Amino acid sequence: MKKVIIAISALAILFGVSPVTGAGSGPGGTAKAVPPPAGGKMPQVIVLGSIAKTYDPVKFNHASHVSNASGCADCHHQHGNGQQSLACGECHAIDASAFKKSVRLAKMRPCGECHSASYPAADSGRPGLKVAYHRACFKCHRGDVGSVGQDPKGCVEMCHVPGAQAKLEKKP
Amino acid sequence: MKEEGNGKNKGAVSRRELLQAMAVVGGATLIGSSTEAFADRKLSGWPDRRGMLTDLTECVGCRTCEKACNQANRLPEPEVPFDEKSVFDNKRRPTASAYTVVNRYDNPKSSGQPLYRKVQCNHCNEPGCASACPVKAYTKTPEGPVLYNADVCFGCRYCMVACPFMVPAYDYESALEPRIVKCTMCHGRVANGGIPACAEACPAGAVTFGKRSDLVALARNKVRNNPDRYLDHIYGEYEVGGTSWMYISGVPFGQVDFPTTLPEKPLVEQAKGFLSAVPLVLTIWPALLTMCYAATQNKEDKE
Repeated sequence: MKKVIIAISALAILFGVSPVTGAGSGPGGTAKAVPPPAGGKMPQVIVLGSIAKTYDPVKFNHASHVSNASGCADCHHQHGNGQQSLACGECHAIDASAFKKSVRLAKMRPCGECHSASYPAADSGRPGLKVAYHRACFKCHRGDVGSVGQDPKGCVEMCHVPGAQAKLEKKP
Repeated sequence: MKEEGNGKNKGAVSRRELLQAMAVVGGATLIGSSTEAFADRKLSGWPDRRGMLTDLTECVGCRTCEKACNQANRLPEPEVPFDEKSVFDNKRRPTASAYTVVNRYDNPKSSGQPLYRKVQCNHCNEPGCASACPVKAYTKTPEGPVLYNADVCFGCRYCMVACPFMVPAYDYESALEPRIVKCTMCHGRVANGGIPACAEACPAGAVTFGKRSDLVALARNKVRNNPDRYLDHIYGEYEVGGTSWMYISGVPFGQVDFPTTLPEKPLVEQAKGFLSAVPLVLTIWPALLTMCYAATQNKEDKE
């Protein structure tokens, strides 16, 4: 039983970020503040499953966040808001068309490429994947929506459905 | 008459000198052994020792660390579930069934975002508990954690008095097998290359595990890069000679119940002068008083 759980969580970590929908469908009318990327494909709902042992995978509605955020940099720190800056080419596909038009997001690097799912070394100063996810959420969701930061139940209210294993443990 | 008296005095002095010499020698051996027993040593020889850094500005009070600690140490199920916020109504201390607890405080900067402080053993560099323990039940390991051995403990609870952070808890359930309970910094997990359960579980990255020297550097970086967010103080870097568990905060540490009057010298230094005098006093005083008694007895006999 334990092996099965370990295997499942390992798989969950491997495929921690898996876009479910939205491969071809642009955000359409939902995006108000942020214009949709010209050539890019923005995910609508993302399933985050790297902590599926305790909780069921989190369904993150990317589209609704796009409409609420004032810009990508609210959550994605790749545009130099005090974080490590990357070379443009690491994220943007730079080709002839990109130079003709303005450079649009062609590829946003998944958090897990830099933020490791395993516990990071303290000297790197870079948070692990779980912490990176949570900090991105806590920037706004703390104390107001879902009472995260005021009540430990806020985690469940906000995102986390207790997983099958957690439910099993609760039963006497 | 006079001569006789002088002669007697001479004899008394030489006897006293002999006793004094014996006492000094005896006391010196006692002190020698006791200073070795204390964790009073320079720790620069352990550069790789581990530590923890709690960032009070990151903690959201989810109590995941408490739950992870409970499971990792196979502690009994708590009376109140871990997702219950009513526990925040009182300020808690670690107990025999909870090595770590999270307390809530009002945030003077923002009322909607209360402050949380995780409490557990700070694994002092030169632990007061270890210096107070008469049977050496505490060991400061080169890896960082301060460990406790229940096999030699006889339940005097001096360590509970000696701890400046009021951490060691007593297991009152068993009268015959006295047992102190406190955080071990998950020594077993770390020895196998693991991460302390609380640090691994914390979703907010409020608890970081690593080499103490790395954590000091990390804390300094955080404070330097975010001067508005943090106070320029790493709690535990120097307090009571330095602790393995350190803290950075956005509000003065006194506001979240950290003891703020602790000296930078290790506590054992404070007590050493007194403690090393105890064997001397115990050896000299009986001899001295016996001599006084003998001297007065002789006089009475003569009269």
